[in-house]
Amino acid sequence: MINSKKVLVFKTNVRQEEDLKILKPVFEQQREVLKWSVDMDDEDKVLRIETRTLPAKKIESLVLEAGFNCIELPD
Amino acid sequence: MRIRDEYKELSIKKSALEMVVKQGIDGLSMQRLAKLAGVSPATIYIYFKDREDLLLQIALEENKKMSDATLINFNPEMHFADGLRIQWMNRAKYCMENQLSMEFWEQLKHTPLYEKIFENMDSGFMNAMKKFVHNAIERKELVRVPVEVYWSIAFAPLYQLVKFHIQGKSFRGSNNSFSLSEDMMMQALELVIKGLTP
Repeated sequence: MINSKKVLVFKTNVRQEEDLKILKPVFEQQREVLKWSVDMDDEDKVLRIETRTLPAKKIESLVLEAGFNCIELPD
Repeated sequence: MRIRDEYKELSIKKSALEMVVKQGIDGLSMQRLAKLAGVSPATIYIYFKDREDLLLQIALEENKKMSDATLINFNPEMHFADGLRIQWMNRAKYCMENQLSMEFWEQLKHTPLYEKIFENMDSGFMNAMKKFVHNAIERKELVRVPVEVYWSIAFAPLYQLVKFHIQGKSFRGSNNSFSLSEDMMMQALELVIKGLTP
């Protein structure tokens, strides 16, 4: 079965453009991350991930390892 | 798995537009928007990449509606007086029926996003307006002036009258209620055409 693309969203404490530079290599190393972006205009600094396979827990731990809080927003 | 739901997408857009009008661009938070639209914040991000993307998509959609409404029964080859009359009627009708949309534009005008919207707009409307003006100048039905001067004379009087109408009063204060009649509009239009005729 082909996994269809899903969108995962997380509340983070990313604060500035510099923080995005830290996250960039983290996601670029993950082939399963098709697209990623952080909504810097929103108070929750929502991280948006498009992936077919990666579970939310894996994203959370990647971001935590990079030094930021990251909690999945419930559907 | 999340499936695209057109109804949800519409509801998010509608609520976002209302929120911007009531609380300004900075008042649009995805958390509060989610509550107002009756969806989860996560759902909003399925449809829109971020806040800017949401605002951009609403703006382009509203712009399309306005352009379509303004071009009803209009043709750039028309005689200047006829074309302008149709545009006045169309624009007045659209403004009165879509007051929220007009207020949304007012909010956007003063943000960096406005440039981006402009770049992404469908050029069909602008081209039709340009063609109309050029034809009219060529046929000597319209004076040749800078486009800002043209616009200020051709449309600003209409928008001011519509503004008075929406407020229900003019500069004369609340004791003088104001309602824009078609006769009044045609009176103003006649003066505008007189002013713009070579």
